[in-house]
Amino acid sequence: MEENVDKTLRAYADGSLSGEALEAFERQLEQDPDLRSELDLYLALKAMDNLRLKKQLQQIEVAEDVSPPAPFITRRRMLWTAAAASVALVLAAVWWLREAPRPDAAQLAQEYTAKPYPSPVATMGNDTSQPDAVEQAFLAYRSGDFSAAAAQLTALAAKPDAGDKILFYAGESLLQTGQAERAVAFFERVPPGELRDVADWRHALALLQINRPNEAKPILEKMKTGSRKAQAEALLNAIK
Amino acid sequence: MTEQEFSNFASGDEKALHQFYIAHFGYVTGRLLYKEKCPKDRVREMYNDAVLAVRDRAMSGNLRPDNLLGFLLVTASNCWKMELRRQSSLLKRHERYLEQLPDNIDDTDFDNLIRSEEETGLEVRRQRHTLALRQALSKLSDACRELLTDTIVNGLKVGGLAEKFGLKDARGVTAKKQDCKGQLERQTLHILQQNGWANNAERSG
Repeated sequence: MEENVDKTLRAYADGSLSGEALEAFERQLEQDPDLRSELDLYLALKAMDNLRLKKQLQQIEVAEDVSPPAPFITRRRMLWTAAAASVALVLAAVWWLREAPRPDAAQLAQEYTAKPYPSPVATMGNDTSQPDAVEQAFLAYRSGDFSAAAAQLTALAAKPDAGDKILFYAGESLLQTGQAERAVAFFERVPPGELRDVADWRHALALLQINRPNEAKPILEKMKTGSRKAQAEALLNAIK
Repeated sequence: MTEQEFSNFASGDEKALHQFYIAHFGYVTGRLLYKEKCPKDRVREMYNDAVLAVRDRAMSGNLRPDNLLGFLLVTASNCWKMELRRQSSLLKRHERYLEQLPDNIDDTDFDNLIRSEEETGLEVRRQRHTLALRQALSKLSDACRELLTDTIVNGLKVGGLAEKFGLKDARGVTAKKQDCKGQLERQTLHILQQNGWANNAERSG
């Protein structure tokens, strides 16, 4: 074969001949039986040799134990992955801040109630101006016997002339013995004066414990300007 | 690849071919899989085709050693794109046809080995001729088969083959080549006639 024909024949066989060169070669093939024979011989020999080489390569591949790689991460893809992870982290943080479960208002109220309100000053000394029953009730409260205190103080509070201390501590004793619903009635009755503010505070806590947040809310709103601002806001957030 | 290694590769050295094949296997098959989206069960075939095509190009003297990997990547990608377009080359169709033949076809009725043109992408005349040539080549001596492969397939110059085949000079190689080709043509014609395909042969070989 002449070198040019040889080149063209190879290009025709491997499919790299195109355009006018392809058309010209196909015309030549139609007219030249010798060229057709050369092509047939080349194709048969080349195809057989390729199959032989491919078998060899397959054996080499097995012997060398090579296989296509696992997915690789390009540097660019790695940067994109890192950026996506950062965005996801920020979104998760925002979600957590907005949507993370807030402490339950009733639970928070329970925590605030856990510490009993300090005993009345009169019980610290010998105040002979108070009747024995009142003194006994406050002594029970002071000693931490809230059940006894609650029983005695609620009995005293039933009298129409019951003072603010009796009403407030009756409510507080009930609150300390888990009777928030009953305590509400006593806190409501505390008249304006020295204990009214603290009665409002304990009143709101009692309402939250019995799941009446709508009634507690206006009381807590009023407290946002007072000394219990932080606790009031925490409870209001918990209610939201 | 060093200059010496490339020179060996381009001269048809099969050891150099094996080294080239292993050296780029991971990278090129990875690119085929993840960039070209070639399915895993076709990746080896595409890589093999590309490696042999690059070798052919190097052996023809039309490839420089620099950026060999780049050329291999483009070739592998083109092989897969041709497959996607169902544009297998004539050579590839011959390979596929020969590949599905049984190892020993001596006792087989040749008519049973002919498939439809739609199935093989090869016209019946070509299939018959390929079958006869394969059978005739198997009856040829190893030396003749090797000489024809070196000159016709690998395009090696007869001058460089005298020593390999124990011949005096280039003229001796040319004479031997003509003799081998003659034997092959006669054998091929005989096989075609045996199978009642004589009208298939305008000239055998």
